[in-house]
Order: sequence, then C-alpha cells, then structure tokens
Amino acid sequence: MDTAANNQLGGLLVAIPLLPLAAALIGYLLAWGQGRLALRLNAWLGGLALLASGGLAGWLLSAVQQSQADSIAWRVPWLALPDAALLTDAAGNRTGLPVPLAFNAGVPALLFALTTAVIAVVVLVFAVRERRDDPRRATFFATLTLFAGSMLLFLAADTLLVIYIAWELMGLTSYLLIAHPGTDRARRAARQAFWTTRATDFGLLFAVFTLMTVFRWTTLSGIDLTALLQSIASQGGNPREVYPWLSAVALLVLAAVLGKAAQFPLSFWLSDAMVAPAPVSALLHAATMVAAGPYLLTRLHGFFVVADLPLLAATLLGGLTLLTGAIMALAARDPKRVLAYSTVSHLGLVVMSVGVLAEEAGYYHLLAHAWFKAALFLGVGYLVAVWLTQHGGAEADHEPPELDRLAGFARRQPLVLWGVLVPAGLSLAGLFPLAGALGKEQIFQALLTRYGATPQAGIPAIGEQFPVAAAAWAVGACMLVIALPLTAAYITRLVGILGWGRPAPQPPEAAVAAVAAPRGWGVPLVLTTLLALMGSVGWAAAYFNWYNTPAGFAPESAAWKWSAAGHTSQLVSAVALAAVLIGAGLTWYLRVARPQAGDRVFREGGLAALAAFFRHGMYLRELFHLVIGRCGELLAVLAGRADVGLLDWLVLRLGGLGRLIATAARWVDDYIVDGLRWLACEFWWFLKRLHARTMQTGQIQHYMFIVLLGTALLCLVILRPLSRILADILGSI
Amino acid sequence: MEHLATSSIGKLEVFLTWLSNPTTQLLWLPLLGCIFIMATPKAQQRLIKTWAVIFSGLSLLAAVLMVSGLPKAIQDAGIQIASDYVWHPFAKHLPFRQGEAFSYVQNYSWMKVELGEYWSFNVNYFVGVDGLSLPLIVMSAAVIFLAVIWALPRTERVRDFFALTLLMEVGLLGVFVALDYVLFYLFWELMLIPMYFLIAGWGRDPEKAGRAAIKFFIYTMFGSVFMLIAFIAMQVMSNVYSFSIIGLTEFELTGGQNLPMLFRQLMFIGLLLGFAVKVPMFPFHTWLPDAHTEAPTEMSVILAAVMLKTGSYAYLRILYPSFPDVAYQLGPIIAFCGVAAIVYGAAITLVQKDIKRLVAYSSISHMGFIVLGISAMNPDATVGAIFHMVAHGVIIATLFFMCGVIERRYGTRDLYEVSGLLAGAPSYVLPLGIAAFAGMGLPGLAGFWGEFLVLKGTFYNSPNWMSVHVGAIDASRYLQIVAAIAVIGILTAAVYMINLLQRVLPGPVKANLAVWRGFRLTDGLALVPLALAVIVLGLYPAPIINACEYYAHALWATALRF
Repeated sequence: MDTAANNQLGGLLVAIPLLPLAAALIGYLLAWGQGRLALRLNAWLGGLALLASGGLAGWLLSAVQQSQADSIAWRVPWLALPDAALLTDAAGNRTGLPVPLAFNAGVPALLFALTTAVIAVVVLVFAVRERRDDPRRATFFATLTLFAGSMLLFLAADTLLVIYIAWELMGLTSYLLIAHPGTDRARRAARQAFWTTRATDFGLLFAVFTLMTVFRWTTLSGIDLTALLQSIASQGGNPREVYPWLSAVALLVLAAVLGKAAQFPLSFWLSDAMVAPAPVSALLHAATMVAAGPYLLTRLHGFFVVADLPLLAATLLGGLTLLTGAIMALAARDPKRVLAYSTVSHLGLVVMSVGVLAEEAGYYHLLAHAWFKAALFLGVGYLVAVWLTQHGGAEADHEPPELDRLAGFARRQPLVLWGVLVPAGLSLAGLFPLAGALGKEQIFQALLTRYGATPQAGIPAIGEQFPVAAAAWAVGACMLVIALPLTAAYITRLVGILGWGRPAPQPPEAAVAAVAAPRGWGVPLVLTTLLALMGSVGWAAAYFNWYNTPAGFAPESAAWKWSAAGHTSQLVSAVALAAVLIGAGLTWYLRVARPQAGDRVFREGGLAALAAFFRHGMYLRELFHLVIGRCGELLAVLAGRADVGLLDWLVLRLGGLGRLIATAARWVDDYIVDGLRWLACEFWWFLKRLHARTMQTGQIQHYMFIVLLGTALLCLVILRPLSRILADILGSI
Repeated sequence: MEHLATSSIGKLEVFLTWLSNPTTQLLWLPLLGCIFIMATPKAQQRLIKTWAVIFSGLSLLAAVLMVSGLPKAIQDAGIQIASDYVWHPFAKHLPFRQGEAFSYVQNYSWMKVELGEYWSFNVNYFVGVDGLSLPLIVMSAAVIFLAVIWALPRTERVRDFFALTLLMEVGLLGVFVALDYVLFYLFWELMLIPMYFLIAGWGRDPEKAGRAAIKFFIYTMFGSVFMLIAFIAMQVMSNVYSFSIIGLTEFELTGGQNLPMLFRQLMFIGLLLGFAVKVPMFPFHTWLPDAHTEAPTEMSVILAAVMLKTGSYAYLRILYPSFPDVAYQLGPIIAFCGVAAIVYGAAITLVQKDIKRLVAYSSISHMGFIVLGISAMNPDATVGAIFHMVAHGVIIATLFFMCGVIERRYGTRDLYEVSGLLAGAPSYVLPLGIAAFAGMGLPGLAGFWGEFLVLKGTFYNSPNWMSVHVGAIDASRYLQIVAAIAVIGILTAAVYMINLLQRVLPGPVKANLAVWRGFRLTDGLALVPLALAVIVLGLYPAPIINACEYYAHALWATALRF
C-alpha cells in the first residue's frame, strides 16, 4: 500500500482540488457579503484557480512521466473507523481500521485533471459573456468553480471515502447549477437529476463498504487484486472464493455509474437537465459529473475480470445505452438534447469498453469526448444565445429554440461553423483518423477479437474463461456496428441543419429585428475553437504517440490488463469508416439536401410514430415517474393516514380504555361505596324515627343486652353462612 | 473505583472534593441557576436572562472542561494508556481504551433502605462519565445553552420559562451521568415535568399545546412505569445490595443467567417499553409530532436534540449491556422497529404540510437509524448509532431553530404558503441549507457518518446472528436485507428535504406578518455554532468515533460471549 511514498510533489497534488474549492468558498463569501465585488471578481477567482490547477496538473504529469514513480501521493492520518475484526496494533491495543486522508494521482488521473481544468477555464470564460445580464451570476460562477473543483477532488483523491464525498459533492453542485435558471422547469429537472443520481449513488456507497469491510482496502491505490489472490493462494485457499465479492463490487459500481452517467434506462434526467445554461451543460457532460462514472469504471476494471456477470452487464448495458442514446439523439428536436443524448451514447461506449476489457481505449475515448463535446456544447450554446438576443427573447421564455428554427443560422457565423461545429462534429461522428474515431475502433476491435485472446501465460484464454460474456461481446459488436452510422447521422443532422439547413419561414410577428451581432464573444469563441481542435486533431496526434510508447500510460495493475496494444487492424478501420460515411451521407441527403424527402419518412411516413417515441426519450421518464413517483406518493399518503388513523387512534383508544375504567370506578364509588354510606345514614334515620333515644336509658344492663342481641344477629347473618362455606371446603378436601 | 467518603476525612473536605468534580459542576450549576432565577423578582427580566445564560454556560463549560481534563482524570484513576496507542494525535488523550471505562466518578452513600429482613439496599449518589456519555453530554449542554440564547428575546413569563429550562437541564444531564438506577429514575422523571409545563404553557395554541403536553407526559410516564418495575425486579432478584447500574449489569451477565428466561425477557421488555417511548421507537412514536407541533421552538430543539437521546442512551447504558442474550433473541424485532421507523417515518414526512411536523417526522426516521444501529450489536453500528445521536442532535436543533425563524418570518408554517426565504431572510438560508443537506446524509456533513457506520455495521454484522433465525433465513441475512431497505429512508430524506428547500427558498416573499424585524443577533449566536458543528463533524468525525469506540468494542466483546 505504501509503495508510493509521500514525496515532495504530493503537496502540489493536494493543491489541484484545493485551489478551486477555496476559490469557490471565497466566491460564496463575497457573493454573500459584497455583492458588487463578487460580480466582478468571482469569475476571475475561479478561472485563475482552475488555471493554476490545470498548470499544476500538467506539470505533475510531466514530472510523473519523467520519473520512475507510478504516481504522486500524499497522505495524512484521518480516521480510525471501528471494525468488527478487532484490529490490534503491535502493543495489542485496538486500533480500528485506519483510514488515511490520501491523495494519489498517476497519469490517467492527472491527464483527466488537466482536461477538466482546461475545459472548466474555457467554460468560465464563456460563462462570463453568456451570463452577462444575470443578476445572480456571482454565485453561479462560484458554484461552477465548486463543480470543477469537486471533480478535481474526485480525480486526485485516493481515499475511497473522499472519492465518495467528491462524488456526492458533484451531485449537489450539479443540482444547484441545473436549478440556477430558477424556473419551475429548471427546478423540476434539478431535483429529478439529484434524486436519480442519489438513488444509484448507494451502489458506490455499498461498494465502498465492501472494499473497506471485506478486503480492508481504504484507498484506491491500496486495491491490489493480484496480491490478494496470490496471498489467498499462498495460504492454501481457493482464490475463486472471493470472486463473488469482487463481482459484487463491480456490479455495485456499475449501478452507481448507471445513474450518474445517465445510462439506459436512467438517461432521462440528463436530457431534462438541458434547461441549465450552456456552460453548465458543457462542464457537466464533458469533464465532470457524468464522465466521472465511466472514469471510475476504467480505474476499477480489475473487478470486472473475475466473472461473466459483470462483463456481461457492462457490455450489454453499455451497448444498449450506446444504441438507444444514438437513436434518441437522432429523434430529438432541441439541439442541446441532441448533444445530451449523444453524451449518453458515448459514455455507454466507454462502459462497454470496460465490459470488453478495453478500458484503456475507453479511457482514451472519454478524454477525446470531453474535448469535442465541450466545444460542441459551447458552440451550440453560443448560437442559441445569439439567436435569443436577435429574437428579443433573451431569457424571456426559457424555452430553447428547436433545431428547425435555427436552420441555417450557423452559416452567418463562420468561426463557429468551421472552427467548432465541423471539426468537433466530424470527430464525434467517428471519422478516421480524428480523435473520436480511434478509441471507438479500438473498442470495436476488442469486441471482435477479445474472444480468442490468450493474454498472459498461466491465464486461460478469455473465451474459455467467460463463455457468456464472449457471447455478449458479439451482441455488443452488432450494437456498435448499428450505432456507428446512427452516431454519424445525428451529428450530421445537427451540424448540417445548423450550417446549411433552409431556414423555416418565420411567422410575421417574430420578424428578426435588425440587431447587430452581439459583441464580446471573441475570446470565448476562439478558446472554444481550440477545444474543438484538440478534440479532433490534437488528441488524434496524442493517440498515435500514446500507443507507440506504452510507457506513457501507466497501468494500475498490469496483471489484469488484456488491452491489445498497437493500432487497430485496417479492416476494422475500413468497416467503421464505411459505416460512418453511409450514415452521414444518408442523413445529409434526407435532412439537409432534400429535407422534404426526409419529412416524408420521419414526419408523415411510417417512421413518424417511432420517431415520436424516441423523441420523448422512450417515455422512460414517464415510466419512472409512474412506477416510483406515483407509487411512492401513494404509499406515503397511506402511511400518513395510517399514522394518524391507526397508530395514534390505537394509542388514544388505549387512553380511552383507561377513561372507561375510570368511569366504571367512579360509578362504583358513587353508587356502591357511597351507596353503603347512604344506606348507613338511612338506617340511622330509621332508627332515629323509631325514637331510638328511648333506648338510651343509662342503665348498663340494657346496653349489654343490646350488644348481646347484636352479636347474636351477627353470628346468624355472617358466621353461619361462613361456617357452612368452610365446612363445604373442608368436606371437599 | 469506589471512592466512598470515609469518616477520617472532614466533611468540608468531602464537600470540596465533591464540588471540584466537573460532574458536580455540570449537573448542579443549572439547579443553582434555577434557584437564583426564582429568587429574582419577576420584573427584572434582564437579570433573569443573565442568570440563565451564565448558569447554562457554566454547565457547558464544565462539560468542555471534562473533555480537556480527561488525561489527568485518567491518570488519577490509574487507568493505563499505551502511549504509542495509535497514530492519531487526539487519540492519545482519549481515555476509553483500557481498564475501567468511567472517569470523574463519584460514589457517595446517600441512604440505606431497610424494609424488613428480605429487602434492604443502599442508594448511592453514583455518577461518572465514559465514552458513551461524554459526547452526548457535551452536545446536550451545548444545545441547551444555545436554546437559552435563542430564548433571550422572550418577554412573556420569563422567570418561569428560564427556571423550568434550567431545572430540566439538571434532569437531562443527570440521566447521562447517573450510574445508579434510583438516581437515573429521578433524573428521568425530573426532565419530564418541566417539559410538560414548558410545552403546555408556552405553546402556540394554549388549548392544543395543553393536550399535546398531556399526551406526551402520560405516554412517557406509561413507559417509565414498566421501566421502574424492571429496575426494582432486577435489584430484588439479584445479590447486589444497591441499585448500581454497573453492579447490576455485572450481575445480569453472571448470576442473572440462572434466572428463568421468561423473567429475563419480561425485564428486557419492561425496560424496552420505558426507553422506546422516549426514543421514540416505532410504533410508540405518535406523541412526538403533536408535542413538536405545539411546543415552543426552544423546547422542540431540546426535545428532539437531547431528550430523545436519553432514550437511545438508556438502550446502550442499561438494556444491551445487561441482557445481550435476550437482545439477540428479540434483535430481529427491534431491527424491524428501527427500519420501520426509518422508512415509514420518511414516507410520512413526505406528505406533511406543516414544516415543523415535517421536521418532527424526519426526526422519527433518523432515530430509527439509531435504533437499527444499536440492534445490530456490532461495533461499527454501535459507534454509528452513538455518532448519529450527536450528529442528529446538532442537525435537528438547526432545523427546529429554522422552523422558528420561518414561523416568525411568515406567521405560518404551512409548506405551501411559505416561499421566498432566499429573498426575504437571506442570512438564514445557509444554516437551513446545511442542515437540510446534512439531514439527507450527504457525505462531508455530520449526518453522513452515523448512517454510513450503521449501514456498514448492519450489513456486515457479527457472526453471532447466524444462530438466530427469522423464519427461513438466519438473522445475519435478515439484517442485510434490513440494511438494504433502510437505504430507502435515506433516499426519501433527499426527496423531502429537497421539496422543503425548493418550496421555502425561491419565489416571492409572502409575508403575512408585519412583525419581522430582520436578522436577530441571538439567532446568529445560536445557529452559527450549530452549522459549523455540522460541517466540522462531517469533515472530521474522529474525536467522537474515538471517544465511543472503546465502549462499543467492550459491549460487543461482552455480547460475543452469548
């Protein structure tokens, strides 16, 4: 566990998340106390902090690559959690399970941190212009910084509990960001997002439990499957006995990713979250919360390699998401929703890559996706913002314009069209040799060839080991082949209609006001262009460098890696390219060049109902609302009724029982006890009426006679029956 | 550990020793304050309030001094601590590791009772603190002090209010330090009576408040009768000539094992009834929402944050150490009650319209976690339950204070009428947000660790449960299912808390009352420490976990024998 000793660079690693978190805190304080200052300062604070974090990440990245160490680490003691195993130290004292506060980052984490920081800086610059008229922008910038900061914490942290904290912090900040517009729709989307992700987060929590309790692994870097299995084997045990635990961890993490990365069937929350401002979407999709899940999967891929079920689940769920996401993106009308479903689809591919043991390619795809998707979101966000200004509806109706109303709008914005939409779109479509294609082809190849691979000596061929998963890989390959042209189709549709579509006839009242092109967009747009270029060409260049020098990407646990090194075969590339071209060409013809022909198919023809079905997100939202929301509400109402109507009623009736007894006692007291007294009184009066006074003779013998008479009477009345009863009892004995 | 006053020491010296013990100061300074307040003329409200702040503050100071004075106290008591115990800087100073667990012990003979030749016993003034009670004592003293500060702007019947509050503080803190059943029972009832008057006399609607207070009082008394019978039965059937909690616990674990099982079960159930009403454990909870709805803000705070904890504290101090074997037998039922409270309480919280009632039902749900953690009988879950007692105290105090703010701001607590706190009272948004998010158990805030440890301990419970059967499955598996179901409660917490926030915070201000005078300093003085505590406990839970860990392990080691 302590192989990566604290080194001097560790402090800098801690600074990567700490800087933006501190900037966000200061931003909140400023926004609370000094509103005006905060409006000016918060974006700068956050931007500079994130820039510094990005710089640190880049510097540490080069330092790691130059040094022999796998990673940079930093740790201090934090907690000693109670543990049922009664861990003791050398002196025999109970210690509990020590949980350090640890940070650890190797190349994958640092590379991703660099990506997150750079994209966050661009997003902030964009947000400064986009939110110029927003009165609550001070807190918005602070929250945006916090969002990026929590992702950096997630990347840099090593302690599993801290990773979980960062994971939840992202959920919380995304909630705040989605709710930022303040409309009912935004709030509804925000709480839907929060609840959906929170529900699945328990998967991660239980995975952390299991890792901490069953294996006593408290840090990510401490997880060492090889050592665990070897130690079990060396103690004469069967390593296969822990396989169920390992696959349980894999499935739990997969469940958490299902919600957080909006995988099928929970994809609805992400598309509804599109009410958030464009910068939020860009950050959310590209490099933070949504991407965090698949990233974690690539880090924990070792847990998937032990059984069929996790591999099968990851492959099929990922594949299903890939496919349905692409179809829904094709059917969606709102340009931001197209991009949202596109994210879902791409992340499904990354999840699938873990299922097919090509996590390295998945990781690469995640990185490339971050850059081009951020660029696309910002580009589309810019178009929407300009369109809204020109149509006098800036923030007036928070309904974003549909794709048809934006048709041809980008042609008047050549920088956005040619600098952002086209390169990023081509990369997204998977056009060889742009960055978006390379990872995809690696995964494709893995799906096709993983079956027979014999990766290392001593380990059986995967096909023999995982027969069911191998079948799933074949299904996955089919899904990918279908998804490739679909992906190309939806992005061609989006970029094609934006750039070259024929503008719909405007209703006369919404005539375009002759508004001059808004100013101040220069810097954000240029930076966005850089993102797009990085996402298409830049990462492609890195890719070839990457796979030529395997040392550049340090694997966490080499024994569990089966990634095929080297380039994809030319056949795979050709098939993929052909699929992409077919999809793109067909779409171009049907939606851009001859939209009437397309309308006949999709709006009027037999596909109309199907298109509507997918446009409504396959009614998944409605399904979940019905099943969980409505049923939960019903149960809650029932419980509320039961508490007052049944439990409290019972308690009150129990009190009522006491009251009943008390009433009975009162009756006894009033009529029996008091009645006796009354009888005595009456008797006395009776005697008085008999002129009992005449009996008071003052002569002792009279009195004695009365006593004698009374005693005799008593004997007659009481003792005789008593003695009879006594005699009965004695006789019975 | 018995420090009986012998005749060789002068009485004054005994008195001074008694006086210098922080337990004494903690416990009896509020009573002194109560006397001072009663001796002050009614009209001198400032003086009365000063007394209240000073004496509840001194009591809090004594609690803090208890923590800081621990190393010396342990040394005096002769408890060995390994200096290289753990790497943790704080842990070295925490005592509850080895040897006898109680510090600041006082054991004076109070009275000898001889009732014929068959029943005679000593009643001792026997008090002390350990890792279970110390965190609760500090939390309770702090919350009561903050409630007193919050109450400072009051003007109606001030003298009675503060006198009763301080009297109640004696009872509340007394339960946590008492180590003698007679003393425990006295304190247990002592806290009840002032609370009755405070709810009935200072409630929002006098008639309804009176009814709620009666319900609360009778229900709790009903439980404590069974508890008293069980106390007496435990002592009568034992060979211990006092009502010492420690002594009787030891007896129950040794000689008491020879008693008939049915008898032991009855004693367990009697104690359980007494404590369960106080917690309140499902299904004995129906007094709580009414009492909270009608009680004044400060009393809701004390009721939820402190008084409920006396019940769960008694589970851990008396019930589980004395009857671990019975606890295993009845464990599935108690765990069911815990998880039922979690899920059922959370479900009811969803449909509440009154904000205060909403918070009250959420409190039932959270107390369910404490019951579940205790019933799992495993060190993780026990520590989690103790941590959650403290954390829930801090969180629920903040939430009830915020209910008071909302009521003052809007003149109503109807969830569907209140809106615009963000614009109407921005200073109060942050405490509400922190407490609400902590209430849903977000990590990094205080509410997380308790639920985390309880779930962890319940899910990965001890092997002892394997021998207990629930229907077709063993109790170990049963507890795993229970833990999985409990997750629904946490999730539902996210739903109702977000609903609360989204209704209360945004939107236009609908001010129904014109008496709102903006931010009150006393509110800030009460809310800021609480909100800070929520964050600090969330980021650094180590002190409390370390403090109660020894207790939890010792309890578990005892339970393992059965």
